Formats: sequence, C-alpha cells, structure tokens
Amino acid sequence: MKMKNNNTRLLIIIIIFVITVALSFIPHSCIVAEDTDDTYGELQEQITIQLNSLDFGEFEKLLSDLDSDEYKIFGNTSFLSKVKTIISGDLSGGYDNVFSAIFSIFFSEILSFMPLLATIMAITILCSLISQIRSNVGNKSVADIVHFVCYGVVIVLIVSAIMQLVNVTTNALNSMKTQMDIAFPILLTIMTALGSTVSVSVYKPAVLLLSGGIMQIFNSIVLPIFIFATVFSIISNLSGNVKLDKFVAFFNSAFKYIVGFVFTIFMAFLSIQGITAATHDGISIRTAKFALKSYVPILGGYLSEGFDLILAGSVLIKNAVGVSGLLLMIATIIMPIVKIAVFILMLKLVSAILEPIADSRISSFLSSAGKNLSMLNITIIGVAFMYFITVVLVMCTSNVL
Amino acid sequence: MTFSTWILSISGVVLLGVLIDIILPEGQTNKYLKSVFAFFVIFTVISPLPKLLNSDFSLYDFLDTEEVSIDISFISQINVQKLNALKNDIQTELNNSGYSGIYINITADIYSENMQIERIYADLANLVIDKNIANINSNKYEVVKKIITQQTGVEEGIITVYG
Repeated sequence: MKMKNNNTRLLIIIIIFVITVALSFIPHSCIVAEDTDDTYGELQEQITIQLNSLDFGEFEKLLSDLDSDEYKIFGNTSFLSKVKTIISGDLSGGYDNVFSAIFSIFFSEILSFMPLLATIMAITILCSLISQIRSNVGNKSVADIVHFVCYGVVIVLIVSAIMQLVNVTTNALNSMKTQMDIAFPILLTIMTALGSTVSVSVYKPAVLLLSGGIMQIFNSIVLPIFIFATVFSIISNLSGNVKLDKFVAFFNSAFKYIVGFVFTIFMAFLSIQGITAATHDGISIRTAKFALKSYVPILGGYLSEGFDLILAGSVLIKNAVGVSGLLLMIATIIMPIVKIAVFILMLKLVSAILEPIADSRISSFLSSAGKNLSMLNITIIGVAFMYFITVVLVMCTSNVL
Repeated sequence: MTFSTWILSISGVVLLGVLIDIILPEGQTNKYLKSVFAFFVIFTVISPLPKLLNSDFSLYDFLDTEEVSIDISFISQINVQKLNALKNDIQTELNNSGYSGIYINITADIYSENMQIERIYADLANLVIDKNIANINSNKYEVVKKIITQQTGVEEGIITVYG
C-alpha cells in the first residue's frame, strides 16, 4: 500500500512536469507593431469595439453573489474593468489583498468551528469520566451505554458540520460549472474569430466533457463515495464487535482511483491535442501570411497590417478574459478550501487531545472523519485544476501573429 | 435497491448488533449469537452485488451534454472589421498605383465562422487616374482587377469592375 502510494505520487509529479515542459515550448510571440502612438490608438479603438460586442453580464451576476472577502480576492472591481486593466498590462498588485483575504477567512473559520469542537471535547471528557467512575462498580453494559450516548451526541454534532461542508463543496462545484459554461463560449468565440479552427474543434468537445461529463462524475460518483466513507467510519466505530474499517479503506482507494483516472486521462488528451492543434493553427496562419496565393480560405490568404491589429486586439481580449475568469474561479474556491482545511486540522487536533482520556473509538472516529474530509478538498482542487489547465491552454493557443 | 438504502440497512444492522451487545448477558449463547450476527452483516453488505452486476449501466448517461454555443454576433462584428481593413488596404494599394476615388464593396458571409469572400465590386465612376504613376493607355478595368487579385489572392472571376 505504501509502495503504491509512492508510485501514484511519482506518476502525478511526472505528469505535472511533462505538462509544464510542454507548456514552456508553446511559442510566445509578441505583437510587432510600429512603435507609434497612431498604431497604439488604433489598437485601443479596436479593443474597445470588440469589448463592447462581448457580453459579460453573466460574469457580473456571478461577481455580485460573492461575499466581501471573495470580492477582495478578485480585486474589488467589476469584470469588465478587470479585463480592461489586464489588457492595459497592469498585472501588478493584488497579492496582499489575496493574502489578507485568506487570513481573514482562515481566522473567522477557526472562530466559527471553535464552539462545536469545544462542545465535543466537553462531552467526551465528561462521558469518559462517568464511565471510568461507573466501571469501578463493575457493570460493563452501563459503560457501553454511556459510550453509546456520548458517541451519538458527537456523531450528531460532527455530521451536521460535515453536511454543511458537503453543501459548501457542491456549491463550489456548481459555481465552477456555471463559470465554465460562461467562460468557454466567450473564449472559443474569440478563438474562432482569430481563425484557429483546428484548436476550436479540439477544445469544443474537451470543454463539453469537462463541464458536463466530468462534473457529472464528480457530483454523482465522487461525492457519494465521500458520504459512504463517512457513514462507514461512523458505524465501524459504533461497536467493538462489528468492524467495518476496511470498507472505509475501500472507498478511500476507490475515490483515489476514480479521481486519478479522470484527471490523468483528461489532462493527457487535452494537453497533447491542444498543443498539436495550436502548432497547426499557428503554422497555417503564418503560411497564409507569407504565401501570396490563396492557401487558407480565410479571406483568400490575405492578412494585412490592419488585419493584424484586429487579431492583436482579439488575442489581448482572449487572454485577459482567461485571466479574469481564473481569478474569479480562485475567488470562489478559496473559501470552501480554507473552510474544509480548517475543519480537518481542528478535528485532528481534537482527536489528538482526546486520545489519552477518551474511548479510543471516539478519537479514531474523529481522525478518520478528518481523513475522509480531505476527499472534499481534493474534489474541489481537482476540478479547479482541470479548469485552470484548460483555460491556460486556450490562452496559449492562437497567439501566433 | 439504491445505494442509500444499502447504506441505511447496513447502519440498521450494525445498530441492532450494538443493541444485542448491550442487552444480552455474557455467556455461551452470546458467542453463538455474535457469529450468527456476523453472517447477517455479511449478507447485508453483499446483497446489492448481484443486482449491480445485472444492471445495464451506461456511461453515456454521464456524457450527454449540451453544445457550446459560439457567439455569432461577435464573430460577425470581427468579420466586418476584417472586411473594412481589407477594403482600406485595397484602396491604399490602388492609390499607390495611381488609381484613386475607387469605391470598393466586398460581399461575404459575415455570419459564418470561416468567412469567405463572395464577390468584390469596384466602382470606377469617380475614378481619378494619376498620370505620373499609372499608364493612361492601358485598360483601367483590367489593371484594377489585377491589382485587387494580387492584393487579396482571390480568384479573378469573383471581382466585378464597373463604372
């Protein structure tokens, strides 16, 4: 088991390395324009015209649903003005905003979970004291009943918190799905306008798979697996006789395999196809530029200077929309991730504190609940990472001018 | 039987086991009852497996999704921009060759993702020929047509020069 874990970890590291190397080979071309104010003004005008014909209304609606900390991570602006700032090249700043927002979420979550965990600690300590006094009298079943009652109260408290976290996770996943459904049509439209038809034909099914099929798998297979694992870890610690610990291990490894497979296959296909298509489109646009005869059907192979300006505007808008979309995604997922991480840490802390005094079943339940909860975080981070890579690939594509 | 009923039945059985554990006194019967109970738990756990094997599970239920719709209004906007740029370039090129005042009109399917030029019209009604650059004796229609062809790379057949 240990070996297998190491192997999967190694595999993941290798995959990430390969993707990074592959991404670094994508040609980054810069827009060569005559360095005059005239061209710059024309480009600005071009960008304004194109921005006005794009509809960011859905993004603004999503932004208005964020709370103040999340809005701070996004940068306290509307989506359109964020896009405009990024187009104008102002990418600086924002880090202190992001970190202060994360810290304030972190501490407010700790405060909000504190009463719950203090209650659990108090109940457990009280019950273990009672059962220790009782066991001096020598009645075993009374001690069992005391444990049972105490365990029941702890379960009710923990399960209500876990259900809240499951809700938060589902909301985060749904919000990411909504964002994908808004962002990818815009990005693919701009790519179509840029003439990268091969890339669009690669990304269209991939995006559909991501926002449809993969989200469906995460919602209807992966999240239920988490719930099963939690239920089994509750009932396996219920009594000393019926042990179902191995079921928790089974669901844990099923989760790992499903997420790993989905992740690896999606990434591998998308990155290979995306990079190939990007190269193909780049070369055909360049060929069209240098060949005098009509080679590519777009406008008879003619690409002029004025033409370049239009394409440059589109490229800038595409990348700015991608960056803003990713910022919005990060702003929506940071709260759930921090919340779940804080809860996991505090559960483990409480189980460590209670270990010397309480019944071993309660502390082992608390620590296994913490272990299971990390599935939720992996789910959110996994989907977010797939979205991230897809947008980054789209941003790297058709930049060749 | 769905998964939730399965989970519920397992929880119920385990709860029953806990009750038995608490209520029954220690002794010979308790041991036998516990082993019988263990069989019962196993039966509950594996009961949905045969049904799971027989069910017709289809992956396509997960994969059918709606289309990604391309925003055609943006595409058409860009296409109009492209056509304007092309028109300007043709006019500049004609001016450089000494033919000014030509009105160029291009028709194309701007609502298509792969826009193709359908026809190019060049109106020579207000034509002014710069005698210093252009040859006055050559056929102006042919010359304009040739310049446009060179500039755009389209076939000569779809260019109409009139006026």
